[in-house]
Amino acid sequence: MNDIHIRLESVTKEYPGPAGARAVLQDVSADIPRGQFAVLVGRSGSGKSTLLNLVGCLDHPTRGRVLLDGQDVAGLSETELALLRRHRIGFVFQFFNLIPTLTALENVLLPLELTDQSGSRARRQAADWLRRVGLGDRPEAFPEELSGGEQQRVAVARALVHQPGLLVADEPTGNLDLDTAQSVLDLMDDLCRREGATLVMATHSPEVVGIADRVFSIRDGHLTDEPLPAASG
Amino acid sequence: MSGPEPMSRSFRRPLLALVISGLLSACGAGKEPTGARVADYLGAGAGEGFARAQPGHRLAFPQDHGAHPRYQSEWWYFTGNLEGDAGRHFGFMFTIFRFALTPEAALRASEWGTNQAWMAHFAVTDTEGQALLKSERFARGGAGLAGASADPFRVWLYDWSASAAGGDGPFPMRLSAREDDYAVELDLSPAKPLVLQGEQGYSQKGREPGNASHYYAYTRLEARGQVVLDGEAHEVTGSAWMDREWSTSALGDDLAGWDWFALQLDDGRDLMFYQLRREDGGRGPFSQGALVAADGTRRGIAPADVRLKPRKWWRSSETGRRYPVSWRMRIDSLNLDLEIAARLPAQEMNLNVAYWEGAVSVTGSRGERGVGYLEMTGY
Amino acid sequence: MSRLLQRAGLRFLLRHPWQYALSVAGVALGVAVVLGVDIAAGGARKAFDASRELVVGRATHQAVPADPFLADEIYTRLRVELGVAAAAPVLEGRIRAGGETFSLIGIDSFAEGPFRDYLDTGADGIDLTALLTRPGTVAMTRQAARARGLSVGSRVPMDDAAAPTALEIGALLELDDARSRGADGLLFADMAAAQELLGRVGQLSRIDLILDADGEQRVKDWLPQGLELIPTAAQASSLDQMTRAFRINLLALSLLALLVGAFLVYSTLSFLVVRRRTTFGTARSLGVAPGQLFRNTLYEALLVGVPGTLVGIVLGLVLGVGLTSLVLRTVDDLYFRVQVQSAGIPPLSLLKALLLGLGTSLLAAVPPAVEAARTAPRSMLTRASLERRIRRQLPWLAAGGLALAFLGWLLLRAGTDSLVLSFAGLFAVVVAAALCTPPGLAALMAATERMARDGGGQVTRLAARGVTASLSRTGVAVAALTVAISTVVGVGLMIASFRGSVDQWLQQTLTSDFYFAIDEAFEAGGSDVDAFVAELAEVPGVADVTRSQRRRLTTGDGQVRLWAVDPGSRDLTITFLEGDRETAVASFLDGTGVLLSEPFARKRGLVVGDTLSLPTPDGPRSWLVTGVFIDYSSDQGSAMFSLEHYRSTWNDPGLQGIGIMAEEGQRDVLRPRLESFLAAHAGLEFAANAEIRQISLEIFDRTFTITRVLQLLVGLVAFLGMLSALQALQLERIRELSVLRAVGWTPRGLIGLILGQTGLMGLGAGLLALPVGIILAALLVFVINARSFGWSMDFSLEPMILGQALLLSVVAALLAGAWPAWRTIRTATAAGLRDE
Repeated sequence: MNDIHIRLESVTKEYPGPAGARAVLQDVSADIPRGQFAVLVGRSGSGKSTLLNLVGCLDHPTRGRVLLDGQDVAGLSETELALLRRHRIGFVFQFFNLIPTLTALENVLLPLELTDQSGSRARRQAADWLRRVGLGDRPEAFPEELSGGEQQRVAVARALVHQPGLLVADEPTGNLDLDTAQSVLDLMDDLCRREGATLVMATHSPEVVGIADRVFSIRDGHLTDEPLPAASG
Repeated sequence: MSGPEPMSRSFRRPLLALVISGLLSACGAGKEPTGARVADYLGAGAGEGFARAQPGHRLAFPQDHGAHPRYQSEWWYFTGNLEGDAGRHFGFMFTIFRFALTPEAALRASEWGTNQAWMAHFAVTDTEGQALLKSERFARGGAGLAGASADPFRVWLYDWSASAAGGDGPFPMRLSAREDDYAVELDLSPAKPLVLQGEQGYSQKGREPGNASHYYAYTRLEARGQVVLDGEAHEVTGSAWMDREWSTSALGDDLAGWDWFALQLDDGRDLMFYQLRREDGGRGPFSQGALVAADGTRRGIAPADVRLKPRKWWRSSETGRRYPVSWRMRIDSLNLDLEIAARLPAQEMNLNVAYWEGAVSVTGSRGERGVGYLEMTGY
Repeated sequence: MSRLLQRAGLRFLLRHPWQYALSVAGVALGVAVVLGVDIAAGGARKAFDASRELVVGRATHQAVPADPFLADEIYTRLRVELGVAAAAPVLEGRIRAGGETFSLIGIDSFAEGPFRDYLDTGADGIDLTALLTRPGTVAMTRQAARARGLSVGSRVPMDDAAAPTALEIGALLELDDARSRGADGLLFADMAAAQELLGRVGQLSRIDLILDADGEQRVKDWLPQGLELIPTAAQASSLDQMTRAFRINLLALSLLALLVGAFLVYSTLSFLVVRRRTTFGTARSLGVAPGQLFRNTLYEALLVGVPGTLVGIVLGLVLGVGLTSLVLRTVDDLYFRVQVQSAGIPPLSLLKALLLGLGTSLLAAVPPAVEAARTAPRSMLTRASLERRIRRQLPWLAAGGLALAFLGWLLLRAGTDSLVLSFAGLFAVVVAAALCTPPGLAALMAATERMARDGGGQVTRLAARGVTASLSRTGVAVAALTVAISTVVGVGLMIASFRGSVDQWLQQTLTSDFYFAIDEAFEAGGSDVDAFVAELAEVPGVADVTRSQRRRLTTGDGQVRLWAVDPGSRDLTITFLEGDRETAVASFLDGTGVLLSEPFARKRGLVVGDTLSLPTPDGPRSWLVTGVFIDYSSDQGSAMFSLEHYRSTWNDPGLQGIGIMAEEGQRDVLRPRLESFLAAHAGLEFAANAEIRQISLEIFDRTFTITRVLQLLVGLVAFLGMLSALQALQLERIRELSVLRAVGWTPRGLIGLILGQTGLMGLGAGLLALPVGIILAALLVFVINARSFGWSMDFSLEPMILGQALLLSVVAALLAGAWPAWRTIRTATAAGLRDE
């Protein structure tokens, strides 16, 4: 298994603003063991996305260290970060972010192509994943021809097709109706556990908290490791 | 028997055609039309309206040294074998040709107006250097660019000329031709008097009356002067040969070419013989020859008496043609058995028309020795 | 590179077919113009080379007389006495036959071989016997004969020969197309026939020679006085120089079209990148490296560039045919006789067009590609922050523009001797203007907004703010439009100034009422010019007769045109730029001084007080330059002497022009009297003052036709740019406009908003283009034209041209905005509120 152990050590993230630097995260530390399903809750603007960006290696911390399997990602170049994401991390976003000019199958194929897997084997694998998310019959559909739930399923397949050790999900159900949200959540949980991937998810949905292994709450840039009741919007 | 003179036939029609193509391409050495052999040009009959040689017509001098523009073609032909210091051998050939394009010249205001085309061939054989230097020129017969006058004698094409050098009549004659890398400057004086070839200067060329030329020659001229090669002048002496001929005539259809010998023996005899070769290799009927004795008396030779056999062949890398460059000539009536060999096999004149023209040496079975020139066409 | 990403890019383009088509069209037009001009210039050059080759052939030297002709006996002596082997005599002249003027070239076909190939037409070719032996027989090209319905044996009546004669076509020359183009107006004849036809028995124009160094010295030493030995290479280069300025001017205009085309590619690709920021962000988070996105964008540039270039090449070939005839026409009018026909397709031009098209597309794609590569994963950058960034860059753009303008100024200063540098400077100024356009537009819009606030126009305010808010999209388009409009203004003002100056010059110079032009046929027909002049002076109603002769003198450093004038009883009608009029005229009359036309003085760097040395039959002679005068008749310039002095110096009794001043009120009755002379003499043409002026201006206008065509094409490319940019903008704004509709704006209101916005852009571009255009015009008039042709002219600021340009700009922008507006209104419904 290639699941990833995540460790944050006194991480601070600041953004330049009109009135000087503004800290979005302050001195955040956390430890997420391999294969865990960790949920991040907090209000809008509390720093959830920023934290996810750091965990997903989309961004560097201003101070402190982000360690993936003990390796500090701060030392990595843009291209090295890209390679790391390409091979070991999968993403699911609130707005699905499928590439609009690629079909469902092609969207799933993209991570495989990036990791130099192509040809009929890759196509079979991608088609297989589409089946696993319940869309085996619509490989040629473009995103605009799919419903929100279907698009998010494709996104999940795309995030997991190359068997990453870590799946980062940013409000994956935020744009879905309740039933659809539940089914997508179940799908992610199920697949991550089968694949043994570590799952870090930011969410507002209270129902997620029930199935997570661990719940972090974030407020004003500080992180607390205690379950909270259903988050406020 | 009197008969056709090969030079005349050889050159007239083809050269008429070629002068005209020469006007087009000019200076285009080695540009003979593909597949065309010299004889191919000879088929057509002689031009209508031109003057024709008449039997019984008496040649008159000095007038006949000059040009005869009413005849279709005419030439002044010089060849010779020369020796420089330490016996270094040179051959030379210098010929000025005249062709009438129309029988009558239009009356023109411009001096450039003419119906006469002129051509000259000039070659030097450097036997020691194993080289043949050759060139040709074309000019119109107007504006003083080329022409011939009888008295004082002068025939010229641009700066190439043969002209009287102050004597009474054409001799002593100064022959002068210059190219970039070679030149000849010779004084010629006759060792024998003028010879009328054929029948008193009337030389039959074909069966039809009038298909004939007027032909006279100086078969032995003493030559003295300079040969310049690559800027180096060589003082030379030797013997030369001059032929003069004008006509309006044509060769028979079945003829391929000819082999023409002009030989000067050490004992003072000069021998001229040509054979017209048919396509099948046999000898045509109007071949002929003559022997000029040391005292200048001429006697015709029956062609049947002359047996000729090629002994050795040489292949031109430029044109791919094969020429016999060594011959055995037997004339039993004269008790002659001669070996005739090219001084240099590579004496092909690959100009607008390609033919072989070169210096030869002569060795007889009875110890005769001699020099000469050989012309071969139609190979 | 990722094949899936490539596919995604291609599909994106195909989903925006208008956008895609417009940018392809932009590249295509740019490439087409460059290729068309290249083909045209190449065609002109080929025609020129072909005529030159036909005329000069392989000669290394020419022996030319200071007199118009040399005695042919010199040629004979050169061949027979000096023994020069490669020499050929040439006699040239003009002859009128079959209602047409031909150049007749007399040659000696026996001597031609080493020089010219045109007689080398194969074994069965042509019957030279006829040419040689029959008087009045000429040869022409088969193509020329076919065009005139002639064949061997045809007889063409000679128009104005005194004696009834005809030319006989004795032979047809088989030439390849290029050479036969150069030879269309040529007749070849044997020297004898030529001397007789031209009335030049015993005379030659020149002797062509092929000489090595030794030979050159030998001939030089031998040549009699009055003959000069001139290397042909010097002549060829001076002929080449002659058309060089013209060609560079064309090239510059075509490059301008490509530049505007590049703007278009840039703006399209920027649009593609901005539109797909989300996609790129997603791709980045999936692990796509920045370099991959960079390459991907360049690949997309090729998706535009390759079809654009290919279409452009096809268009360019078509355009080339049209432009070639325009260019050749001009070359024919201004420089030397060529036949106007289509040129072949030069492979090198195709290659150039291919590389330029692809190269420009790729270069234009670099900034958007960098932008794409810089996309952060999951792109948190919003559109608003992009616009903020662009606006932060505005001062830098302005600074860059100013720096570039300064560079342009430096180049223009440095390029006094170099047209290429001068044009580089001009381009720098144009690009500087383009860079300054977005900041300039922002400033204009801010001002508009303030005015609108005071005036209370809400739509205007919204529109102005919209323009500023969308600068990242519209800046490039407006810059392209500005460049195009400023070119319209600049070139328009330049042509107007030029035309005005030429017209004024014509009025001042053409003071006689009627003119006779005389060519060689006059003398060949047995007429005597002096007797003719005397006869004219006696015609009742003639107040005064002026005479002039023009003559090209071949010298060691190119040809010099001599202009010999007898102004009759009047003053010289020239306008002096330099020198004291009285001194100059006095020295003109007594032959101590020479007057130079402005281009002549400029090209040779001569000023009043210098001396000019010219070959004469008595050897070289020098004259004091006492005046420089305005003259637009030739960009080669001429040196002017009094006719009397010219005749005594160069022994040339000929005349080319006779001017006739009518007595007061006698103009109308005089005309038929003068025209009656036409029948009596060969080689005469007759025209009234106004007709000559009109013809001159027609030629002038024809000369600038190609300039106007190119200008139009540049404008068209810019228009496409506007259309493309506005379309892109409206696509992005569909959401915003949908919101406006949702909150109750009527479609009419929306259209007003959109058109207001595009109209403001057009107005802004136009306003910015006016000063730039005036600067360009000034540079063209005072720098480029002066350096190209040596002409100075009065600058005239035509308000009409400025007004038209402004109108053009607004109308172009409105037109470009109309289609996107209509589309937007149709799409901006509730559906538009959904994100893509």
